[in-house]
Amino acid sequence: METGLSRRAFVLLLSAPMALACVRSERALPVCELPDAGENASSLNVAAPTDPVLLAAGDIADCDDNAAERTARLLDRLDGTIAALGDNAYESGTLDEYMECYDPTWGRHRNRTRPTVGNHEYRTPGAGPYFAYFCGLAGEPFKGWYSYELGSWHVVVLNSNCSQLADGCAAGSEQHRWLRDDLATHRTKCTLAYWHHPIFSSGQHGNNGSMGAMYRELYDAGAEIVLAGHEHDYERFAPLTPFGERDDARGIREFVVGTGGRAARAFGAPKPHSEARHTGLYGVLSLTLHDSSYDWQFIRDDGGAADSGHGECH
Amino acid sequence: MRWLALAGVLIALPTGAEPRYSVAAIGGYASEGRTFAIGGTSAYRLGFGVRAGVSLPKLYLGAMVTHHLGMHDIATSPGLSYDARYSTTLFGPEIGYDAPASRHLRLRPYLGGGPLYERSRTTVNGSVSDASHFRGFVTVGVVATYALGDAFVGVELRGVLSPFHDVTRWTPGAFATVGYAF
Repeated sequence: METGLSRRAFVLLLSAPMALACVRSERALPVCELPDAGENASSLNVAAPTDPVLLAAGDIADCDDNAAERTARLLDRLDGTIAALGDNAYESGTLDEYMECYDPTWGRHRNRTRPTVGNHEYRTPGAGPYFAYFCGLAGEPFKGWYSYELGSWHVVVLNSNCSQLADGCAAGSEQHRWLRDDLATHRTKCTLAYWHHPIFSSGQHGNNGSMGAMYRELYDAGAEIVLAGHEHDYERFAPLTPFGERDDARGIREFVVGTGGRAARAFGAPKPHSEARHTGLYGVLSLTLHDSSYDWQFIRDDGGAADSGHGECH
Repeated sequence: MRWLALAGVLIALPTGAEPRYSVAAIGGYASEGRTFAIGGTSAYRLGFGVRAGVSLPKLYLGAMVTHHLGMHDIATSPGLSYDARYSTTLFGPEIGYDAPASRHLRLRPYLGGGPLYERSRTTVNGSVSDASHFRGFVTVGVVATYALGDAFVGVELRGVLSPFHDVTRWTPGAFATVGYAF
């Protein structure tokens, strides 16, 4: 009898997983509403009747916290194109996290968002839900780099998750070659680029040189601004060379804006040429892009300005 | 050194019994902690497999293989198709200690490890990303079995630690087992 009982248990145990073998989850995404296509598939044209505004922040939506709703309400009151600087949906950028945490907040502005991909998105293999959620707004699926025009500015979006890319981010990589070609094709007076991991940072993670070859390419092309997130703080640097030396004539000004909603983190010792630092607050960076200059303002979620200034294109 | 000494003590325990070989089927469920709370992607979930080993008689040496069915995630909207498939297979040796709790009941805490293979294939609008790869894992667990003659049934609680990108992922699971000792 004992043997018969164990045999029946054995059969039941084997058959149960077979019956449930098709573990399938199916749902609907928001409708893709792409902007008008540009000259080629990797370049999107964004209509800008007056001097355009770019609103930027990363490290955004956490279902355990409502801070992303606070910055989303700020976006409700601001016109402009939105740069979501990566780590947009915590903890792992899953489709559920995008739909339940990002979509009700910053997702209200999805169709004017040009995102970049963060390291948390890659906690889901290939960052697939990121590319799905943003439809064609994030460039070609699984690459993560693309460019668009904003007024007279050329805006380049790169993927700084170098370990997730087949040939990384070094000089000669696919992304680097694309950047070189893109910059050669779009010779504008003013250029802005953004990705997730900052080159220079006084925050918890510190400097990250993985995008050094890209920064050098942008510097050689005369780019003005680089935006990044990753650190849960706000920081502004003076115009710098790829080696971190001050260069007011040709240097790139970097803004770190990881203030979209994720809990803030403390700074370490200030890095050289760090000009402004704020932590413990949420907000977005507003960049008004004139034909040959730009104004910046870091706007807190209560509407007040925490940092502002003006820069000239090279 | 302490572990080596412990292993020596275990092996040297007076036995009075012959080594017994066993083979068992296992089936259950495992998932990363956060996915319990909010759903989402998991390459684990339902899993089944086989464990075989020898009890000496208190030192247990064996091996197991477990395949987790993971999930098939599909989302659609006009102009978009998203299809992601994930699954995980773990295999490797185990070492445990067979502690009799009563005449029929036995508890076996164990430690294991080896490679796991995580399959992940995502398609977005026809573009495919295959991020399948091997990585190492360590598992700790305890198996409680109830003897029914030479056969046995039981339950297992298991935790799998594995590096995953920039984090170490902890995946708890619960399994049922049924087997036979020779």
